[in-house]
Amino acid sequence: MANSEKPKKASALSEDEANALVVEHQGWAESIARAVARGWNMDWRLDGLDGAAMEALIFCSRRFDPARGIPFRGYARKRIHEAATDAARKTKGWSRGVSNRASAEARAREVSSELYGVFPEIRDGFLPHQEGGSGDEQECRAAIRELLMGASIIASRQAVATDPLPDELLDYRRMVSVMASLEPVHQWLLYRVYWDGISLRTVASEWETDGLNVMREHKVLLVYLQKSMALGKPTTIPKVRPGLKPIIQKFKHEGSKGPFTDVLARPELENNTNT
Amino acid sequence: MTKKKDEKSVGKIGSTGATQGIKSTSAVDAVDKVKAASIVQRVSGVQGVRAASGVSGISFEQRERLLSMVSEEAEKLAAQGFIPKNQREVVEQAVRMIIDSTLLEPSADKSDKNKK
Repeated sequence: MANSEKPKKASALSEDEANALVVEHQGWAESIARAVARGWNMDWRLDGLDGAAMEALIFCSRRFDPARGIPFRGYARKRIHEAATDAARKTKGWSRGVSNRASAEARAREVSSELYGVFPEIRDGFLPHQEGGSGDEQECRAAIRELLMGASIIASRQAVATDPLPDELLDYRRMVSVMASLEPVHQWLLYRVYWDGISLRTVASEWETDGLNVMREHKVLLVYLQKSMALGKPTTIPKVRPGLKPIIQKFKHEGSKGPFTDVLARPELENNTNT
Repeated sequence: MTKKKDEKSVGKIGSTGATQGIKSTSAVDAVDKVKAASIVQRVSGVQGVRAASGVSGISFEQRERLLSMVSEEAEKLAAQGFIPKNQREVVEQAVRMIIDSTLLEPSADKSDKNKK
């Protein structure tokens, strides 16, 4: 084959075109940095969020390929938002909290930062699972409930990791006990998302299944947790949806009863509970 | 009376090739039974549809409403015991933060529309 016939590499923009994109979208990128600063009660300039957003904008302008048919802002928004949040996390004031109020704010920042990992669509300006929906009030409320429940699981997990109070330990134990009554595949879903910090979409790719299977199952699991916590004991455990059945086989082969069941079955934990 | 020749009329048609022959068809041997379709294991994600379809997410105009919804729903979940009492403030604030940090100010949205 002649050299001229070789398939072309994805065509990026020329330097002038890329620079024009940067000039055109500078104000927009700054507005993303301002939004992050507003949300986390920071200063977008003093805390360096403006620079991080600008760097990400320049990076995106160099990588952007119009031939893919995605508008530039659709392509760049998540990356710029990510750069701004990363910069915010590196600031000195990120985890500083002397007073109770400031300490709660610092903890809330940590929780929200992890929540981005579970629901990355938020960075694009969407509530969880809002993309295909009507966006009415009922859907917004359902999405907000999902965010709150996710945040609550993360907060409980984070609380026991650093000098927990007795109440926090009890809350955590109660939550883990409810989770331990689930099918192993469901336990792993919750564990991968809230303990390993990976997104629902990434779990779906790992398990080689459709993202909707995992997202809908996650929703069902949160409803189950909500009901069980309200009753103070596990309710009827949800069935595994057909799309996830092949994953059950995988865990059966591995002999796993689920991460939460395994933790509760540890002898040292049993002894501690008995004493 | 003389007929005027239409200027657009076809002048000449070249000879068409004659059909050479039709090969004999073979008999259908057997038809397999229709098998049950297996469960769809995975459908790969469609890239860029959201960005191209113009589906709009949450906007700055909804800010106050969304933030008040967070408080209302947090109260319900705390009452049900899902959010522990000592975590209520942190959890509610975390969700307020994550929503607020994604809402772009209206000026940016306006320039967005103008530039499209």
